[in-house]
Amino acid sequence: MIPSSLTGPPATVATAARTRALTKTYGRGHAEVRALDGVDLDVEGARLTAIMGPSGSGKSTLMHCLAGLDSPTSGSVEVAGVSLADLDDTALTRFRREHVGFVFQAFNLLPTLTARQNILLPLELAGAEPDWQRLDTLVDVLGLADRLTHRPSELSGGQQQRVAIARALLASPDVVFADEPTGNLDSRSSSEVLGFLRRSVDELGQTVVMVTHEPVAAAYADRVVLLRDGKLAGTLERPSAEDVVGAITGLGG
Amino acid sequence: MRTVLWGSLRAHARRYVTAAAAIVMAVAFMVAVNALSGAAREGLRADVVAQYAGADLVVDVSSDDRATAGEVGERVREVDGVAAAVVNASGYADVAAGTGERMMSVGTLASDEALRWQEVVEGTAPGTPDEALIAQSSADRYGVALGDSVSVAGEQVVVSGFSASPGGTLGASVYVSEAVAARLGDALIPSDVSVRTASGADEDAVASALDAAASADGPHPVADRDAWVDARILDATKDVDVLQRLVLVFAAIAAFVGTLVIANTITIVLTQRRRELALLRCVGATRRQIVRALRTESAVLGATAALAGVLLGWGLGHVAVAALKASDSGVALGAVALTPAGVAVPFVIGVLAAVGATVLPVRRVSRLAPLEALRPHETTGLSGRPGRIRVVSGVALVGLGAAGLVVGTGDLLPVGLAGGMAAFLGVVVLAPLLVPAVLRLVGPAVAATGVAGRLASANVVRNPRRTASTATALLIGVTLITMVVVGTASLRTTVDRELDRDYALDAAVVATEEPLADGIEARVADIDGVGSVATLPGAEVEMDGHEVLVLEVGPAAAGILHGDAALPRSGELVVGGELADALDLSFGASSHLRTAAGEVAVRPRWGGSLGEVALVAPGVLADLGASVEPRAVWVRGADGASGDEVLADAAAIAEPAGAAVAGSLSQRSWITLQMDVMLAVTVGLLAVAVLIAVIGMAGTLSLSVLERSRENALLRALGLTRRGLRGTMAAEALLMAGVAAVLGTALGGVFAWLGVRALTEGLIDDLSFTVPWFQVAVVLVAATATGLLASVLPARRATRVAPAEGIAML
Repeated sequence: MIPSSLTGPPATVATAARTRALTKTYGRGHAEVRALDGVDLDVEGARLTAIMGPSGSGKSTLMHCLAGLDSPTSGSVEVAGVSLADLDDTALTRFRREHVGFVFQAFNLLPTLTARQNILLPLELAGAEPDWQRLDTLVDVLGLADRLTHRPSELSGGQQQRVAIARALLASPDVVFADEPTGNLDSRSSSEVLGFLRRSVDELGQTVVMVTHEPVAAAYADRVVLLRDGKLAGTLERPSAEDVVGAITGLGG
Repeated sequence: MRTVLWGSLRAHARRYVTAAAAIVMAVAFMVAVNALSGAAREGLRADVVAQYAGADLVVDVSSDDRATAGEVGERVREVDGVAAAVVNASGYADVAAGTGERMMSVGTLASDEALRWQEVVEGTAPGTPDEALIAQSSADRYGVALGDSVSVAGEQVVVSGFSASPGGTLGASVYVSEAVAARLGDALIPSDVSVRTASGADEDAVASALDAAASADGPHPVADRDAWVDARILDATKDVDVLQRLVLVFAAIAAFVGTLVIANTITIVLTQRRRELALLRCVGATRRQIVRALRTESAVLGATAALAGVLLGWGLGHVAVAALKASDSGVALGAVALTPAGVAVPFVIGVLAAVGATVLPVRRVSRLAPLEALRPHETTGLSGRPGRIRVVSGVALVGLGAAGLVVGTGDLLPVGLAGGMAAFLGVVVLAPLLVPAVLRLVGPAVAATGVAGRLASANVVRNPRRTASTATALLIGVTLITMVVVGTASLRTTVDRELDRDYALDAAVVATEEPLADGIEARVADIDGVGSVATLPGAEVEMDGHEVLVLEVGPAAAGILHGDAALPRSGELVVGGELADALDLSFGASSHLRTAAGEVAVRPRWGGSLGEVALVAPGVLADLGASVEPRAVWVRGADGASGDEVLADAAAIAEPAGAAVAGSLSQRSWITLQMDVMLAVTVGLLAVAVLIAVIGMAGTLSLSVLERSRENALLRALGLTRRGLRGTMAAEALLMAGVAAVLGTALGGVFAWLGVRALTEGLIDDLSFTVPWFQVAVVLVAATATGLLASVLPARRATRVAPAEGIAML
């Protein structure tokens, strides 16, 4: 269904991102909170990984550390073979725009720019020439062709998320991080968005890491990583929604 | 980054309106001032060119007295090839014309028609040396008609025509012939001998012959007309340059206030855009890119606004020049002329103000972590290092500025001005600590009034920076206004006191020879512009060998005098300045008043302009056994009375009755008028800065409401009624405006005192510091009300948003 022109990197199962003894604490003394507590995680390439856990389990913090948005207190993070601890702010920013794509739960798009300008934004920031053919195909596949000149306020929630996905995929990043991408959407838009993420893995060989607390969303993943109190609490391979519900219940969340 | 830039400029244009308005006004102000000065320079240039149009060569006699200049003139006339010459001299002399006698400027008329540059607008050019021209405007003012005889420092001349308004270097209100001018002696200061050469004469040969003849008794450089005119224009426009610089000081104040307003606005706008900027960081914008984009944004804003300001100022300059020309103010104005620097400098200042104002706010947001995009907006107080830096730099600025204000008097006035700005900047830097501190003090009182008050008093101290930003604009405005009000009042009292000492008596009708005729008091009281009158008894008494008229000052007469400097106390003799001059008196320790019947010793004292009389306290004349009769009527002018008219009318009554008129109402009303004009101009110029400050306050208030729409929606969702929300916001505005107004009043008072001191140091010894409490109270109330008013529209907008919508939107 996706044209062959969009075939991306070969579908290997190499490690796209890796954390070792990843620890993140907030506050000091009595007020210290251990959001992450020695997490060792390997994110496999060309697969859709879901990070799940109850509120406060550290799943968002884990994703932020993986994406270079937050710096760990101790431990290491390596994405696409680069150790993030060695990068200063500017280098980290460059790394993000060259190797990482984002889809957030809300406030994904700059309200002042049109959909098309939003999609091209990271490449413009990097001063890089977009792959116009890839843009056309993405816009086509995501059904955004007649929405490109609209501003975010004129788009529905699902359309806004599709614009964010197009932006994340345009530069063929090593990893796309999605933070509760369906949190604000109705069920139809949700399945649309999740379907696109799934297809980007299957048909483009894209690596996607998604934080979610919805079992239905997690069921789209190849692998579900369960987190509790900042520690890894197990993984599920290609689970069904029921499997996920069971596992979550087991965590006490 | 370009798409981001244009997108955000388009989307946020509305929020930048106040910042842009501040720049537009400040730049327009500067350009308009430059345009006006340019026009004034052009006018002067045209006048000077016209005044030497008939001359071919000019001999410089500007460093000689009139007599020497006259001799040079005689020698010049005898040189071969000289067709005509005139000794140009001008100065001030007492001119008795129409309604009275006064100092007027006097210039010279050439007898040679080609050298006579004066334009006769009515009547004819003088044909004989006894004829003179008087400026049309002066003739109108003093009621001089063609054919009137006029006395110029005792020289009688006949007005043959009216001249155009005076201007240029040779312009004057009265022009007399060279012969009369020569008799006026050193009252007139010579400038040059203008020479017309005979047709066909070799100018260079004449010039060297002139040089030899003129320099027989000292150096008198000879210049050709063009060189001379250029030098005179340079001289003449110096005054305009000084004036222009003075007015530009106010423009600098306006630009300074503008910069503060812009910094405020940008801080708030950027706070609102935090998430947007953080998202940019997430998707790959480096800090440098963000900083560069925001700087470019402010530069574009600054350039656009400054351009609008240049156009507006250019237009205003044209309007002002046209208005001044139409009002026939006597100011010689040419066409509006703007030099490239006159446009470029204000433009650059406008752009720099916008870019400079954004340096700090931009640095703050550029430190944003990308994660901010994902977090709800949290507000933080001032603590840790930046707080300390703020305190230290604020205190340092205030200290340095105060020192500059104390030192910067007289010649060091620019230092004082810079000091004032530095001190003010320091206050602005400290405002985020100062304003919340005061608010914390008064908060509990407001909180006691109910829910709205409690919410409001908590809101205003929660985010010190935001509160300070909102309050600062008002603080600036109130400080400026208070400064002007208090400064004006202080200058006014100081000058009034000086006036009371020198010009205690407005007008007097004095019968020097015989008792005052009946009914004079009633007729004088009927004069238009007379406030109150009193008749004084007096008698001729011998004073140290002189026969003088001594008047007794009773309670009614004392009420006519301004102040009590001229009021004789028991045992004192107050001598009128005119009497002292006439008798050439020096004031010893005591004087003796003597009549056939007795003698008293009194302490003599100078009393300013009172006429040719001396004053004593009641009862002294009776002790001397003098026969006392009514000898004088004293007059106090009504407010705003024309001194010239009152004195002229009094003279019309007094002279047929054999009495004389004295008094200083003319001088007083003239000085008061000068003061009023000066103050009106100052207030007018500062008004621009105040207007900018008020715009800034309205802007910041509405922006801070916009910024909190989410929070307000939450309050509504939790059950605060629409009225309650409006009440909360009104209470908040009232609190902030009130505190800013009180702080501004205190600061304005201090600045006014320092400013007036700096301005008058060396000119006036004992400065009286006066606070016009009523006006200050009006400013205070008006400022607080303005704050309240500025919150009305934003509050309406905030309450119209449905709670759910407010929470959902950013």
